[in-house]
Amino acid sequence: MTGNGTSGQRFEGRAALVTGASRGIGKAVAVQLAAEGARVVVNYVKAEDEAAAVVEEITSSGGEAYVHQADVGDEAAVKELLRFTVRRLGDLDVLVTSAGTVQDQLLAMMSVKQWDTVLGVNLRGTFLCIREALPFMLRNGSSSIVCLSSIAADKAGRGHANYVAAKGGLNSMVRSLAVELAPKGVRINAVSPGIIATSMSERVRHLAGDEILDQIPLKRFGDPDDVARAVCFLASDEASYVTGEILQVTGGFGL
Amino acid sequence: MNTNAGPDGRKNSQAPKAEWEASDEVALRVRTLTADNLELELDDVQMDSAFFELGAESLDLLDVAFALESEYRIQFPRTDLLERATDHFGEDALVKDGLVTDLGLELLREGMPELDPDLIKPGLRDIDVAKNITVGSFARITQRLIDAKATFPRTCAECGGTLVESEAMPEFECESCGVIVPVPSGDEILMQDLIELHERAAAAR
Repeated sequence: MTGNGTSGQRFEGRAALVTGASRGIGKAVAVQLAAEGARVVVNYVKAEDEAAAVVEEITSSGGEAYVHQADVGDEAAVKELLRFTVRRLGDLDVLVTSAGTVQDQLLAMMSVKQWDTVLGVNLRGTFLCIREALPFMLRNGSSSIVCLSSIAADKAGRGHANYVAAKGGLNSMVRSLAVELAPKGVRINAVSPGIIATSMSERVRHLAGDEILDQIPLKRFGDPDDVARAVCFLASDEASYVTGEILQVTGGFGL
Repeated sequence: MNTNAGPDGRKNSQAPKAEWEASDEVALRVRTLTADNLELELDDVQMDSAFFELGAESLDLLDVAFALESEYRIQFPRTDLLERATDHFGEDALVKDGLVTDLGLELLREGMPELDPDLIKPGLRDIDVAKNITVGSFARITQRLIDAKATFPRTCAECGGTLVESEAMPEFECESCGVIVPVPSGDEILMQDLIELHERAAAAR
């Protein structure tokens, strides 16, 4: 039982890797997967103490979790991340790619570094994690990948062409891979959050919070747990006939 | 089983390294895994069977490769010969406008001796190489990677301790300091082999 209104141990005995799990949505996903029985590897890139705290939160509740640092845009680091995961968990049933970054700037002033960094983490990083996970996920005959996208991929806004391009590319990649991987029993979906109360969205909420709230029919910003529940649904067998879907968790933002 | 013979049993003129020949045990295992994966009878899967003629799609090849990786704890190559060799020989040196160049044909003869010699001639398209990859190709590569792992240094470069092979992953772990060393990738090993074979063949010509 998760305490979040979800009953049962949907991930009992399953092995899961969550990238970018030291805080925000990734953290909520890792904690919820573990609460529902999954053994989890918590990946982070810089926030070592916060990642360790996530592992502590899981293990102190009787769960099993391990922490591993890796920059998902770094091919060698991702290879080692996957080796570490299978070394610790013995298998890999669920992959959640949550590592992401924003570096907003008007296009005229956007540096190549800002473009490359955002595409590198959000799109290349997702590609690398999925590619390196496949040898382990294919052999299961039934495994699930969930990628964190963003409403930004569908709702135009200024100042984040790099992020929008990355998330739009991710959505297309998810649909393409759904077709490619389905014959081998690997499902892949994305969750597209709206404005979620995390450190990543702090700037936009500070600058235009009230204006954005007016556009959200449910009249509140999302909570990381709102997104985690959607991720866990797609990762679970409850979604066994769902693949290639981009599930919006936005409170109606963008309708 | 001799994987150096073409479908009609002919040997190629370029003698490959002896250790490239798959043992009977490895050959049988590759055939069995392929048959299981494609839901075929073992007798339908022979060393000279081309995967695509057996009804395999690209992902099925990966599935067989991953199964072999898991069973033998090796790292199967992720790229095909022509793609792998392009980094060394240069862009357009092996494939130009979709056609395999003379140098590309030479490398295929040297590096994939089990391919039908009648296939490797001017006008060959690169996509047709992939279509003709045989079960024997996988067996040869598997044997090569098993042999490479067997000769991998077992002394830890960090502390001089003994490296022990993992029973779960394609890697070694030092008994003393715990450092983990992945087995060399198939791409690296086969690329080194190919360069060596090519230089030897060029010297012989």
